[in-house]
Amino acid sequence: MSVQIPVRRTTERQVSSPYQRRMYMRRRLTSMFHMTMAHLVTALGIAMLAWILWSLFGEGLSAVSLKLFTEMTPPPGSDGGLLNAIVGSLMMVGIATVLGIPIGLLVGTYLAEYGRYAKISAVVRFINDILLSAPSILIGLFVYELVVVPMGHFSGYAGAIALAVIALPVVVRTSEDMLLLVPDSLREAAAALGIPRWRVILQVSYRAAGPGLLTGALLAVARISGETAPLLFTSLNNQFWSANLNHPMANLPVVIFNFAMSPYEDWRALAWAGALLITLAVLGLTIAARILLAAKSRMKG
Amino acid sequence: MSVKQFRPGFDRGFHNLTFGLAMSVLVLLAAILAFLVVGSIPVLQNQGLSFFISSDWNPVTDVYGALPAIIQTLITAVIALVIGVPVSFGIAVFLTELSPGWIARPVGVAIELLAAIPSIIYGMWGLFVFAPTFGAALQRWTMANLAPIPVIGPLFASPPMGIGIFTASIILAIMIVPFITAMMRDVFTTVPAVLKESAYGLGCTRWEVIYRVVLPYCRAGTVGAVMLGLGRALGETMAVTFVIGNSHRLSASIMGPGATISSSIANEFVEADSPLHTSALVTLGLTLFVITFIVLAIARLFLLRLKKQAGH
Amino acid sequence: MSTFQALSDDILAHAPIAEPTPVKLSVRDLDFYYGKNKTLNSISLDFHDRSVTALIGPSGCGKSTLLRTLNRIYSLYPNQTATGEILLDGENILASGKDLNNLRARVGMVFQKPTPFPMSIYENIAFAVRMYEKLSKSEMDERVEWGLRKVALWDEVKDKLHASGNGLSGGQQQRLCIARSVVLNPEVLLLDEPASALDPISTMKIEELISELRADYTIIIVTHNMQQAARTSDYTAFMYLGDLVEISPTRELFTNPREARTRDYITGRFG
Repeated sequence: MSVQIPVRRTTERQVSSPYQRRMYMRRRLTSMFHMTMAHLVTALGIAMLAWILWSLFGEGLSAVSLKLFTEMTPPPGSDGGLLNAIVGSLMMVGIATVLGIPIGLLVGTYLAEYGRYAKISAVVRFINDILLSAPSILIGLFVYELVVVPMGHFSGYAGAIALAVIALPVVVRTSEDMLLLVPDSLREAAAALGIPRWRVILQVSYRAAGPGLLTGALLAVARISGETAPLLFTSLNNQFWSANLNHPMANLPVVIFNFAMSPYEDWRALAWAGALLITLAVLGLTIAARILLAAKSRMKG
Repeated sequence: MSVKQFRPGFDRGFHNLTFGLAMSVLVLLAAILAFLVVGSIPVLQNQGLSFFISSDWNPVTDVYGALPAIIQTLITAVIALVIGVPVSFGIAVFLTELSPGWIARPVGVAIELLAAIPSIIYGMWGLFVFAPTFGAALQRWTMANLAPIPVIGPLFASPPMGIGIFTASIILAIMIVPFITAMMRDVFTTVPAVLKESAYGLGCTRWEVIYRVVLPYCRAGTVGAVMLGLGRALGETMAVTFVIGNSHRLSASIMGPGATISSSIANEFVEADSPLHTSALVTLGLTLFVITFIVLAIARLFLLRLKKQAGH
Repeated sequence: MSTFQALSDDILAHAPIAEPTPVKLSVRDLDFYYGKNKTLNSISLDFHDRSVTALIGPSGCGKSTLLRTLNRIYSLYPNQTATGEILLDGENILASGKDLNNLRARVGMVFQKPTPFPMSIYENIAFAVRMYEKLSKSEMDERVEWGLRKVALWDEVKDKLHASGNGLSGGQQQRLCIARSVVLNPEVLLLDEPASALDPISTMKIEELISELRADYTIIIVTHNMQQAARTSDYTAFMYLGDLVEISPTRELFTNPREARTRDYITGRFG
């Protein structure tokens, strides 16, 4: 049995009734309004970026000189540079990289290879993602209790460990993602030759994912280079030259923080110079990571 | 003919190594939580729950009430979201729906770079550039125009110093915009072109396509992105510490100075002399941990759902 | 060359017989470019009111491109351009400043893959109606039912109207998408390989539906399936490498093609 359907002839269309015209105008205006807003906020966002970079370069460049890289942080009122802070930052970031990246890579390896389908991996992924976005100041508190309190004093080691803890989840996440991009057919082909799993991972997966893994490492280094909060109560700061990781250690972010909050004009100028250095370093690393990734995807075609 | 020996022991070993390190991620989070809990015990034993509901924070008399810091942490983060989310949404719409590729690409890269700039830079810029100009001007304006209004007026009363809770919220907003935008853009690009085409095919306007088709399609991812942004705003330290004014009072005005959990820890932890003061700051940290954990867990659950949706 | 028969009489016997109706849509000297790449060469043809026209040809011949010019959906992409004229009731829709939203309400389109919007079955249809008409709740219910009955989907979904459209089978989703277009009372309905992603039974239902809708709309269907073209259409246009080779009443094109290229294609010598 078929139901009778009242067919509307096409001639019955009322596109042009006054009500419909009004409604239609309203829809168009609503759309135009929102699209205009989208353009405006984009312009606003770009203006903000330009404003920040403009101030950073304007204030920072005038304070940049060779002394920045040859002299220690000065007492208020006298000339100086940021040498000890730069060296301290490099050392701590270096140690954090050496600690955090291999561990992160191996955890990512577990998640993408051995434990890809294990139930526990879902938990590890979830917890790792929480760590990835956890407030970094909490990492500082943790490492303070873990390292500084037992040692009895602030130290470069503590700062490096805090930075390593922050780098770790970044590396875990990117290495898992990058290893998952390696096609399974490659793994199968290697396994079909009788090559044991660990060699397949080291020689096939890592090699195929190489640029991606490096990208993840670069992003992790970029992330920790600018971290300030976790260093405030781990490495603290040091007015003087110290390459001893067992002592409080100067580092760029904390020097910037202390100097910027100070009432002294020349300290503030140094803070701007330091800010410019850090920004350039972080942006440089980020751009390098992007180029690497772009090159990789181009290679694939 | 030589046959390479397959040594199962080695593979077992490598497997166990990676597994053990993967477990260390769980241990790490558990340890962070444990240290925070243990560190919180002294002040909670001493003051009990009044720690969370008292608004009196006084290291001199060794009395600690966390209410102002907790409330102001939430206020700054929420204001930052209220400002930041519509802006991020607008930019994401511009990047995915409105601009031709030769504009979308450089703007997209700029947004990603903005997201990579360390937060201390935002804080410093906020203190030296933004607060003295825009922040102070805004405060003068609200003081003159909004403060006299009865009932809501006190919310906006403050001397025009430039710094304060609202300035901190704006700096936070500027900081989370690139972060949220980048995620929203990535989510929006997952909408199949043919779905948008069929909406346009019905005569939808651009806004109708975005609001009625793109946004519902991306609901899980969008909520996830916003929650991650919220998590970031709640825990952000340096951008806030510079510009919030560091005052442990429950101020009636959102234009006036305040302190968040993270700015209190950053400012006071190293100088804290009494064990109770240290413990109070650790307890603040624990509170922040619990709040952000909940927010981030919600964010991840939404993003997980997005992944599943994309999976099939 | 002996007796020529591309498709069995069995199929063609079911082909609707074309009756001359007025021209609804007229394409004149249409060129189409993807960037600098020309993909349609000076196409001219007419589509008749209340008839079904099938566009056939090997992949890449431009049949989908032609379809996508008819509601100007290609305008979403900045590097695609069309020149020439497309007259809908005598009005050139390629003219600049043409109101595209209104045009697309008059010229509905259904895509190869079903595209239910991320909302309920009911909302999928009501959403479209609400853009053009203000209806009370009961009128809207009526309209939704009308649309769903029109595509013979009502009985299958009437108990789960507020469930997500994504939960339907592929064939049901496609009929939902047709209903969504039909409730707007379009004058022309464009179908871009509407059944190619569906199983045989769903395909049959869609074809039956096309025959039903033919009474009310001008239907243009792109298909790679010649039997489908033969079964459903009044006119068939054969396209090849961006050219319109020929357009004839369907029975004529399949039994007695004018062009050698058409004959080669429908007898399976290439394509």
